[in-house]
Amino acid sequence: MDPANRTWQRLRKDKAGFMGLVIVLAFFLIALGVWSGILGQGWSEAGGGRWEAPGKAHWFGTNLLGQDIFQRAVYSVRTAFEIGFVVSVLSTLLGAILGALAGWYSNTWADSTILWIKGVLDSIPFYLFVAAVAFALQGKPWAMHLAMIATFWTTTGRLVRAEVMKIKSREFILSARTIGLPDLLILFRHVLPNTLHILFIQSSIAFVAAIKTEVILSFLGLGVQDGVSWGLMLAESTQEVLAGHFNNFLAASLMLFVLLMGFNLLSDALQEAFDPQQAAL
Amino acid sequence: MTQHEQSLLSVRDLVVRYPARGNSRVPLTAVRGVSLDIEAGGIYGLVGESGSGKSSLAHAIIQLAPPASGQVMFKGQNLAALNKSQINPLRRHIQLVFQDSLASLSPRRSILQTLLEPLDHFRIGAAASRTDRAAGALETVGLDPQLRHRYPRELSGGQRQRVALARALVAGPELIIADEPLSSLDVPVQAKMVELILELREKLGIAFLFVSHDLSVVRRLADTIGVMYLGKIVECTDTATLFARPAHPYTRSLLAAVPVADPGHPKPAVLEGEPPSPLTPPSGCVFHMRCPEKLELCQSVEPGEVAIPAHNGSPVNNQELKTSSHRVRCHLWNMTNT
Amino acid sequence: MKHPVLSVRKLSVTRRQPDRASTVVDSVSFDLNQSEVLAVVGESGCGKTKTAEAVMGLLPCDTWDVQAESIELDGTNLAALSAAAMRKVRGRKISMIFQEPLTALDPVFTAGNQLCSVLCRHQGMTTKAARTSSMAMLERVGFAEPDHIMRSYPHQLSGGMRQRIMIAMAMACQPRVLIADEPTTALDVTTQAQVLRQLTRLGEEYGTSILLITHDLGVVAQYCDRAVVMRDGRTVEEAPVPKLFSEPQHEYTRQLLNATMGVRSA
Repeated sequence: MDPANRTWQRLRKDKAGFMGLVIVLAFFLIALGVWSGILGQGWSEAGGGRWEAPGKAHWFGTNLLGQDIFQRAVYSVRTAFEIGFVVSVLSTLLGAILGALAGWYSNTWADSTILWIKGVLDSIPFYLFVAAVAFALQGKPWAMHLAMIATFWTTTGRLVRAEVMKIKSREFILSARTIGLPDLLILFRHVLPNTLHILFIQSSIAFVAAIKTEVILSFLGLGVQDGVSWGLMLAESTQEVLAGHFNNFLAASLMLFVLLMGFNLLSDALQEAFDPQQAAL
Repeated sequence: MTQHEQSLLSVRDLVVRYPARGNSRVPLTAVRGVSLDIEAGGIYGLVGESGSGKSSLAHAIIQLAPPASGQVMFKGQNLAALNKSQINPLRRHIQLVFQDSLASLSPRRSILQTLLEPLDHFRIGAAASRTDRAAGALETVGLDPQLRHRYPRELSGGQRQRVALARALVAGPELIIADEPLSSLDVPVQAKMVELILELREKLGIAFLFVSHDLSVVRRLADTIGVMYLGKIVECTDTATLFARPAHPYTRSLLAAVPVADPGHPKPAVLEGEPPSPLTPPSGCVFHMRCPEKLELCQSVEPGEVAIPAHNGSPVNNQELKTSSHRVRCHLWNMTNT
Repeated sequence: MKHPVLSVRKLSVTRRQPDRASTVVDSVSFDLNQSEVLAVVGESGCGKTKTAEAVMGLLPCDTWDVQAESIELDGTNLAALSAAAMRKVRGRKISMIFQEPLTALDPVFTAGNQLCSVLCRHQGMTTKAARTSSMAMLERVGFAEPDHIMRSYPHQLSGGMRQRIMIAMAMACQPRVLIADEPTTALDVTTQAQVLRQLTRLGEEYGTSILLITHDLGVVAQYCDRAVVMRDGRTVEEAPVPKLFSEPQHEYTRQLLNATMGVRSA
């Protein structure tokens, strides 16, 4: 049984993890639905009256502008996945590559340079930096994503670097060197695949962190520009809650909570399933 | 004995040094000037305990790390003097097998992928034929070719070590350096692997540099044995002579320490003192602090290499060094000092 | 006939798993007599280590199911003891040393610290008294400079040294039984001779019986009084060592003897 199959078997046995997987998949299907134009298309229409109660036409009621809360919440699933995927994949990739290079060429100028960059980025207070970049690139649709990628990669980079430093002295790497394989080939074919457990955990952490960061950015007015997100809904709802209308708030926070919970359960299970230390028991 | 110009591998005065690390200010000299010769199809057993530098020597010969000084003549070319691009094509002729088979096979790659890697890298044969070659290599080491789809973790220790050998073989090398390849295997499995190595030498004419601490295994396999202690070869001769007439006190202590599978035999003799650390080598002879037969001279003067001819006890001078096959680094044998 | 110090009857160890349970030790019985060195020989996977761990009560009960008719140590049935009671017995009456000296000692404490803590816990000594005892113990296992060793951390010491410290820790309370699980497999042959000599000498001095687990028949021949051969979780043959080598009864024992390659024997 190859490693991928084995991982799947282990995952299946973990009930909490499996539930997490189901939740994430369900949300993913909703996101696909929105992307393909089936669901959540009425998010910006001001179809109903102000603050209507939940009913047949509007399942969660309407917000201040008469927009259907449920439609907006559903559309936000797409936004969440978009941010989550783009940021987690790209930041993990960046962290993996830079971390691997730093670890392989450890104690050389390449390593020192990368470490220095990491150090600088980490010293800047996180939200300040993200906000600054998002502000500077304001109006551009990818401002927020870029800002997050630029900061999220450092943790992955540090972890990958440490792991690569351990792996590179192991015998299967020495074997590859005795055949005379070039360094970069060894790095990508033999070393990086053995850091996959780190990469998966980190990308799932980044996914969750991206969504949460977006909420904060929305409060600062630096969030999603076109479209709607839970963060935006939550930001809107602060006013509404004061007036006694909770639907907006509840819809957004509930969906947010369930997705993030599912993701956390899944990533805990993935960590166990991927751990190379755990031989098949 | 023949002249050594025809040797497949000829190491001369090799020194391996590691830079100072951590708390120590001193660089670690793991190998302090070692010379050895291996003929085509010959098996050389390099014996030593921890701290002897035998693994460092093996790694330096295959240029995993460049030696500080000395020569490594392989088929007439000095590997130590070549740069990376010049060495790479030669790598297919010298391969390395490690002790820990689980660690030496890439865990996320199938056996087939592992075997194909050297074939693809060295571009051996037509691309289409390489899978067959890989299967053939598995058969040569006595494994079912079907195993090529499995992963290292699914095989037993003995099977994995055979795969490691297959990977070394698949490129068609003339010399295989084996660094303690049998140490983590059970005794019956070790016996089978010894038979396999002898078979490979017979059928394919491959030479082996077999590094081990296990004298009983080396006895079965090697033609020539070199005994290493703290970075130097203290004794070197053919197998039969080493076991029948060990000359160096360390060799004798080593042999006396091995427990014999015979209850009537006297208990192993204990070599007193702690094993040395290469970080703080003693002055004079590397072994003098633990030597049961040491002379006063041994503390201050390093013994040079002396040849002992086969049948009588008196040594010969340096000019005739090359013609004798039994060499020792010990003042007890260096009669010019008495 | 003298009463054995340790008497194991029908010990079985099964691994608990959701879809398949596997028996690693199958109804094993043997006796360990006073002041004797008993070898447990077999290839890897034969269950010898699990047997020892079961006797010591070291197997976590969520993963392992240990059943035995009895495991009697000087009259007390270890199999019937509670976890707390077993903790008192472990280290004081029965102790164990392991194969891998690298991981057997805690890297963040000095050797002296670890040795003293054993003495303080089981013999209720004060720190000062424990220090003196520890130094004496280190001398007994052959260290010429016990003070230096006391202050050293495990990573500063060689494998053989660490193993001798393990022996010192295991013997500090003069246990009735010492289980040594392949204590010298990871060591050089000259260090092995040193360690085994210390081990057997201390055993004689303290009257401790030793259960020596090994796969090396040379070690069995030269250091042990009796031997039990195990295969696939079962005992296959049990005999005094001279008899085992001269007249092996079981086919498997003969196979093992044949596979051993001699160094000095003809």
